[in-house]
Amino acid sequence: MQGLKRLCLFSLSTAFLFPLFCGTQKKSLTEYLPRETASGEWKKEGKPLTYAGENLFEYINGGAEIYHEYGFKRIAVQEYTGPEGRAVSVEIFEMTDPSAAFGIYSFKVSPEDRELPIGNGGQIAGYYLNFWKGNVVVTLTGFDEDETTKQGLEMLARAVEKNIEREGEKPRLVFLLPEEGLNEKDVRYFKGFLGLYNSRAFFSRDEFGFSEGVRGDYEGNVSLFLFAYADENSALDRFLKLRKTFPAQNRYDRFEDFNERLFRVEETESGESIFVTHQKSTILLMAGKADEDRAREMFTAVSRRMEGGS
Amino acid sequence: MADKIGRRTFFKKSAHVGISAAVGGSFLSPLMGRLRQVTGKDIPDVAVVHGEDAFKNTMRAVEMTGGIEKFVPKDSKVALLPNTQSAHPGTFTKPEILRGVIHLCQKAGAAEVNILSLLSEKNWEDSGLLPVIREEGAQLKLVDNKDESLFKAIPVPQGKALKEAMVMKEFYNNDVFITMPITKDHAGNKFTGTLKNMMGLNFRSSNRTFHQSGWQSDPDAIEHLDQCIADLNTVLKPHLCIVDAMEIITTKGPFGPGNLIKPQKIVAGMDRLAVDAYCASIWGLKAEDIIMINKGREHGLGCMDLNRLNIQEVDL
Repeated sequence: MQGLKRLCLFSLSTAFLFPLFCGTQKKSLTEYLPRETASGEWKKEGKPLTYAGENLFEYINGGAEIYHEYGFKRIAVQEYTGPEGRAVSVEIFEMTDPSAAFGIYSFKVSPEDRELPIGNGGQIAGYYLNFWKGNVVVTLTGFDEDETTKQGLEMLARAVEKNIEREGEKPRLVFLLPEEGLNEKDVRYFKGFLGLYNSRAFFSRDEFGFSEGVRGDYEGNVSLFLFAYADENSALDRFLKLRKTFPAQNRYDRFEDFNERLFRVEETESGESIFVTHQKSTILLMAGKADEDRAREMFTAVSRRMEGGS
Repeated sequence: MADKIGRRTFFKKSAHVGISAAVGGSFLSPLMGRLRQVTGKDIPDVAVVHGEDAFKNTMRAVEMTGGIEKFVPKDSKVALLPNTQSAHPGTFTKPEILRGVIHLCQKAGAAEVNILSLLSEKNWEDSGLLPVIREEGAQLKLVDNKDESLFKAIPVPQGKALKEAMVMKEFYNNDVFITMPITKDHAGNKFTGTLKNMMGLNFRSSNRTFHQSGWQSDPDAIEHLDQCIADLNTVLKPHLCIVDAMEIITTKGPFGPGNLIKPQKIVAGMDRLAVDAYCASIWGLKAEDIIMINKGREHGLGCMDLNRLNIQEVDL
């Protein structure tokens, strides 16, 4: 219900053209960087590095594309030192909007990470921590898994978070995922093929051509993908293409066409079923070792949410 | 990863070994004629050494491939290409591996050991590789990746997507080339190894063409990138590949931070595809699922079929 409420609120806010995120934007990202933590244990070491736009390639040589796919604006990087010479690197990514921030955040986290109530969402892993707030994503990386370093990650994250005034909301598409059985820590949002390819490589080329997409993982090892298109005709065209493309691939077989709106293929190696349908301007895909009933159940649940029901 | 020590301390304490290099077949100097001919069925296609000590693993892995003298003639100039893309754990070639390789090259009588890079000195400092280079008396050759005059246009006759590479001129001042990537995840290609590492010799603007303009909406963007990498490898041929598979990220690559695993392996060999196929298998990837390796096979760069390869693994 919480998600649905947020969906309704989102719809209202867009209807009245309210800003999607509010708060004051810092002129320079380095203003988000605290001089030291409240305890004084962690302090800045050296000067921050900053990169903007295409120059991200200078910092993330050979790996910047995924950031650009989501919508990257600029980054500030600062190293901190703490007790016994421990070090933590803080990277502040300013993205184009909260959707982009949530998207790259969803790319950076893993379901195994522990959730952390910080910003608009955060997770901590063995040696690193990610959180997002407004249109900003912050990644803090330690260089060991020691408790002192983990504490440092959290302390620094909270110190940075305090300086970020803007708030953000997850993309609308995320709220179309049915809540029942959903692993909320494992929701991925896509703005392009690279994000999807990293999450699940259905094809080696972009056969989906969506404008945005989302993946939710559910109990019973089932994944639900929603792909949004500009309009209903675009979604239908793409659906019809996919109905030909899936069975044409060697890795899929046992094609079944249930009706004009639903087909199924089986991924040969995993034995997983893939059900695909389309509703309005969205393509819905369920993958997993589940039957047609489960697929229809999930697709119906999405439809209800599209209609504004529960 | 190292427990209870800061990054700098960690680098200082762990920097005991290192190695890597590569040399293009087309520019081999007469020195290469003096290479020790070591052949025989005892030399594996892929040498794998497992153990906690990266330095010792490196030394043994090179020995298993026939010994450094097989690759590095006396008085030769050796180019090494480690990966120092990021200082995040599991994303860069370990300093102790580089130390080992420099040490071996010097022992073989190399006149120069040159570490080539398009990245800034800070990358080398942050990764802990710079102190090793200085301590071992090797040379770090930083090439300004914005100055086109420092690069040489190299036709790629076999190229399907890449017709011309722009390789750093500095590379061609060497006789021997040892490539030394760390194997890890990559957001675009799913995998990084010896093939991908070659982009570290190519001019950034040229590398950027590996991502076509409008790549974000191009359905074949990944295929194009992987084809370019395979094409580039037709003109850049390492004499030896030494791959860091000690501690690597298997998600969120190539930059990290991501899921860290510790295979504690050094993988060496002359066949790039064989080495990459083995490295991919370390974290459950199949070579046939990695586009760039398949494209490399189409170019005849090597063998990616692990069942057909002589793979020798030892524990230290």
